[in-house]
Amino acid sequence: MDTILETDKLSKRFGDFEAVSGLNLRVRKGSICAFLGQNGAGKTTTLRMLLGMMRPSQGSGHILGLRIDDEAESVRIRERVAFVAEDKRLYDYMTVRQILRFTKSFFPGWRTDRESDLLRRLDLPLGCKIRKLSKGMRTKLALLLAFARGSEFFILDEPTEGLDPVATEMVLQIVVSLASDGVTVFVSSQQIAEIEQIADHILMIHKGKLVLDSPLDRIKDEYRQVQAVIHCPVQNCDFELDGVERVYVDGSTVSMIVSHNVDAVMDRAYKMNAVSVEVAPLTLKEIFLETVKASG
Amino acid sequence: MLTRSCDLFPANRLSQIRHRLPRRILNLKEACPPAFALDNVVALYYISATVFRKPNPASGIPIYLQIEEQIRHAIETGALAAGIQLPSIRSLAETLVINPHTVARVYRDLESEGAIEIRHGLGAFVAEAWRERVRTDRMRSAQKLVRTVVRQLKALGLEEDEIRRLVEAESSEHEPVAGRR
Amino acid sequence: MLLYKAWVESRWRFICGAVAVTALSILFVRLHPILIPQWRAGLALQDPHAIKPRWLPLGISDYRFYIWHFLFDFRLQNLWVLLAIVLSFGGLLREHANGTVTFSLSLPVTRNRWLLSRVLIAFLETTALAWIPAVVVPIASVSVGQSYPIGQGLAHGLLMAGVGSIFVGLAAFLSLILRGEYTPLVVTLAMLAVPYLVLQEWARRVSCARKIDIAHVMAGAWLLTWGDVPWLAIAMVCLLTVLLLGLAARQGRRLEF
Repeated sequence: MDTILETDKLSKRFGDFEAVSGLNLRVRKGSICAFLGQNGAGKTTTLRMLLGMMRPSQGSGHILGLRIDDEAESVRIRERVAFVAEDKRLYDYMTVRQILRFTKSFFPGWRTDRESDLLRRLDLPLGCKIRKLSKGMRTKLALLLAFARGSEFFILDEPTEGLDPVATEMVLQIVVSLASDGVTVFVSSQQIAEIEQIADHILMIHKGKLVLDSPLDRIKDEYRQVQAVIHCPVQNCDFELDGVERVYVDGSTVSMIVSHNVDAVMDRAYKMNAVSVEVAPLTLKEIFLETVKASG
Repeated sequence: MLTRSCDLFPANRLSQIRHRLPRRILNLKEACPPAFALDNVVALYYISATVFRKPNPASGIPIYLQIEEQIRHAIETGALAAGIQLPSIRSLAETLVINPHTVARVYRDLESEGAIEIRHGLGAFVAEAWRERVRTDRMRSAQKLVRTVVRQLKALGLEEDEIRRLVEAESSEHEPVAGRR
Repeated sequence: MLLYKAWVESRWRFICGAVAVTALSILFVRLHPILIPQWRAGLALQDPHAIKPRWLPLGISDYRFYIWHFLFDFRLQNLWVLLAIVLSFGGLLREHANGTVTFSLSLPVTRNRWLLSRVLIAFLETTALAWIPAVVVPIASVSVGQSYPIGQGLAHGLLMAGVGSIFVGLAAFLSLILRGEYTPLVVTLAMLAVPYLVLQEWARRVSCARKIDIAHVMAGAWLLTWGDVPWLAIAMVCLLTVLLLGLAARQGRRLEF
């Protein structure tokens, strides 16, 4: 099966408020798929629906071919999918050793080699009670409890939040290493620069709707910033072309964010007697900001 | 750098590829703790030889192009000698912290160029004849250029001796300041 | 491992409860040689204004009645019910209040299993607490020169825990209805006022009300033979408890986090 996760018009409404509407996600096996969105855009709600913590108001979803809205199948999903929530709190009263034993009991495919390797690399004290651990250490422990499960699919919500740069780097390395093994990773993060490094597919959600669904390479290849210097007066509507996401006119400089069709935009600029037309690439962060602004 | 990359890769295939590695790597391996896997050492070596620098996602050049350019440059300058094994896809992805599909693409592109060979089950190796082939290619296109110029000069009525003297004068006058690669 | 977690979560509550039950049992055993002479003297005085409860002569003459009256009919029962509620509250809504619910729900465990594991541990713990006096009282009685049959203690303990299981069910049910770390506990304890204050007052006046006075049923007859154990009452209460737990399970499955 090539698609490990797919949703069909997944929606969730709370009273009058539509937190998620008509979401059609597709995550391919073996990819590192990023799930981007502002706080409150519907990411957490979506993840909760995927894991059976919330029931969809409408629509359906399948992970590994199993339905997300049926409890029995959802339990089977959770046997094979490792989830790390944004809230990484764990049972305060247990020690690191106890929670490892506890979690291990649910997963017959537990990787003890990975467990001991990660315990050492992340420097987690086995006998320490979880309530005594710092926030960063709790995050590392939560990640370890997921990584050692031997799952074929990981859903990570803000995995590097609160971690120092060294630990962040380690986590990204682990994710990359998992992907090398053919494991699929679905990661939601506000650290866009890190996502840009390791993701190969981008899903962007805004106000409950999917606004971007594309391989990262294609986005980086096609999104461009076009700056033209045009001495005659220019209005925004002069550049209302397919592909132009935003136009800023500042004196004689016209800056445009273009998601595709760059050539047509450049032609238009030249037709308007542009003195110079420069095309520059955009970072994923800039693309994210623009997409969010454009979606209103 | 040593401690940072320590214990990244558990596999140890030293015996399989020993003969492929330069002396420098083998000496480095001896100096490292026994648990230090070979893959790790290979990657390290390349990092320390500044073949692979961490790509800059914000630079505008796609990551895969940056890596490809680094490898090509290293092969051309001889930092990566012919026949040397390149790090596995996993090692390189982990060391540079980039998506393994990107590394796979890089190796695929370089293989189709002829710069590297991917031997099934063993890994990626710098192609033996690539440097020479590049030089030969360069020579061939240079030859074509010269042929056109000489023909044009002959059509202008110059003699062979005059052409030779002109060429020598030109090449001695415009010695590239940066030096030859 | 779910049972292990439920045990670790309630371990200290159980240990404190066990200590309290043991202490209470020993206390009343040790009080016996002090109270009896006082009562005898009080009776002999024949003071018309003195309060003479009807059970006093039996309390003086029969040690087993004394133990039953003060423990299984009175203080121990009160304590046990409180402890039963304290041990039974908790669960996914409580975990939601203290933030660990997303980890628990990410495990491949059905909502039913979460409930059942906690309730099973609660039943085991409350039964153990109900049987502690059966062991402690006979041993302590030796020190005051009395004897108390273990069989009696076990029978009374079983009755108390069996009928009292309704409190376990109630606490578990309310824990899945009321959000908050301690709200279900407080509310369940407040609800105790019904049988222990309202109903008992009423039962004093209306004799048939005694049948639904749970405190009375839990106490049973003072000299309980295994034949006397009100099996029907226990069965009915257990049925009610199962019903409550069924409702709790249904609620648990419907909850959204």
